Amino acid sequence: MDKIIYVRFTGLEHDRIKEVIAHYPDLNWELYIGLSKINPDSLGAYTRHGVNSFPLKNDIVDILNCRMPDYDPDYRATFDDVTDLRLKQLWSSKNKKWLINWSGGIDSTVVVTSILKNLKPADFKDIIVACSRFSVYENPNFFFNFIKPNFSIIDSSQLDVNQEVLNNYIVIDGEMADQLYGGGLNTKTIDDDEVDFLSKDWRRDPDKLLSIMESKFDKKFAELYYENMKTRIESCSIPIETYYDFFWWDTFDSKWAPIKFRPLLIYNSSKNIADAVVNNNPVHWYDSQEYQLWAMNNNTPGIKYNIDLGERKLASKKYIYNFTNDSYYYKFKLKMDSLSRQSAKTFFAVTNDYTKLYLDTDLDQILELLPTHINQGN
Amino acid sequence: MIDFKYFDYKKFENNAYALYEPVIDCFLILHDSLEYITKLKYILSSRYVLHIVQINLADNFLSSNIDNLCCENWSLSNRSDIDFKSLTNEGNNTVIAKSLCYTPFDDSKYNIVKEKEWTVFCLYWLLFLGINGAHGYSQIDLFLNDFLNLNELGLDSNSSLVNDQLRKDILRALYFGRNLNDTEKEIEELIKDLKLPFYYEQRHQHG
Repeated sequence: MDKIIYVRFTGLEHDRIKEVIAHYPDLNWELYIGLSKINPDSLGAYTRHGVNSFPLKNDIVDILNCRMPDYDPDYRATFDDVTDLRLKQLWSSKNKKWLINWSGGIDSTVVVTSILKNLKPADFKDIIVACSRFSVYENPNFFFNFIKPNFSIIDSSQLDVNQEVLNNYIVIDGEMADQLYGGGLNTKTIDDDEVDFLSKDWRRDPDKLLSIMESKFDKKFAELYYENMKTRIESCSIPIETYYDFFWWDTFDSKWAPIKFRPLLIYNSSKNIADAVVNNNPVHWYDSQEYQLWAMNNNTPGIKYNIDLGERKLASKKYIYNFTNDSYYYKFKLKMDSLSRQSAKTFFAVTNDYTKLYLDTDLDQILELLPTHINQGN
Repeated sequence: MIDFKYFDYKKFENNAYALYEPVIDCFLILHDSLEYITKLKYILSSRYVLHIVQINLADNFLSSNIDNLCCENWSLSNRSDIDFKSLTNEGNNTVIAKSLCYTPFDDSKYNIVKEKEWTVFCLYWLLFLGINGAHGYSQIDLFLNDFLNLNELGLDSNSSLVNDQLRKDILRALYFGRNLNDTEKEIEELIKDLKLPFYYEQRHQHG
């Protein structure tokens, strides 16, 4: 290992880390560290399109092969089209049994629905569903009507996605759907009674955003955030008009790589995760070119979302409803925190040979290698 | 609602807990027992993600203003205190309403009468189980009998009117039920052999 390719927000405020980054006072540290407060669940932020205005290098975007596809305004495929296509693409290249992580939430329920809709019952013997009792409580009708009768089930709360598991299964999760839909609606930044302003033009009406962010953080951070977003948005050619688009862009652009990396880092107890990265396993269901093209073209009320709290991730809910006819799930199901995500282990950095480094045991290495990851004008 | 077979009118003078439904932004039902409102929340979790709100401590609470006939027209001022992303809300189960907000219900999108009838129906059966089959269900029994083993002395919870299996069957019917008439028939079938106390005998004319 000779350089760091990834760091988590958590740890940047460690005293010894602060001593290192103090050597680079011209970089945007105050903004970057503040981003972790907007979304405390987030591991990090790396831009994958346009200018890199963050203080860390974004090599990880190419390492994980997650540059953004070129925007195509003529792309017309629907969510249903790209979901069915995703299933067919993955199934046709299947060389191991599938292990589906089903949380009971909307994203992973789309995955299982796609399997039930597109495959033959005889194919289900090659698919195992990993879930917990809380997955069942989150979506009991789907579990008892569709999962229990069709699939073998294992307890996800006991599952370590280690190399042995990855050798035997293609592990499939529902990651990156949040990035397709946009995270602004789901962060602590915007209360649900403030969502009306999301339909406003972000260029013409900066005041509402600035006042909300000032009330939650402080004025300086609010202005830094707005200006940084403005710089990032203006360096690309994708239409971003409303605040809904604005927040979608933030997560679609800067959270894609961290979220793509997250399952490898959190659910895998191995210190080195090279095999998992090289073999692209686990597979994130929503990590496809087609889903991203769909996301770029459908920031529209009635497709991705509507005003009511129950109408977030609307295209996904419609896809499920068209198969299950469960109107209660369609109307009242909300986006929930994934319980399993709350148990993240506290590594701080990853090196270019895919070794996780921890602040408590690997601090000397981290201090030595951290400067290799600082964005000094690349 | 007043004519609904399972509805019992009650004024809430002291403790008043509400189940808040965030999509419609209203209270679906009120009750004065935290124990029952919690059980009701769990039984209803197969349909809605509900949050328990104590409303009698709100600065503008008046028992004459809010009851189960009109609770769908009320919300709370401090919605931001609710963790909308948590299914279980363990450890912080009850939000205390600071003020109650009159928010007349818009019935163009949701059939609130139908939803309220379902919640009242479920509460009715939870109370039924509490009164008639409580021995295997109450927290004190679960805790104490775990080491007292009173069933070895012939004090078996199965000797109560509603035995443990029947209690489970009724709860399953409520948890998975989607249609009130069908679920009602299913439960009536389950209890058809019970000799019900007079109060219930009048409502369930089977025996």
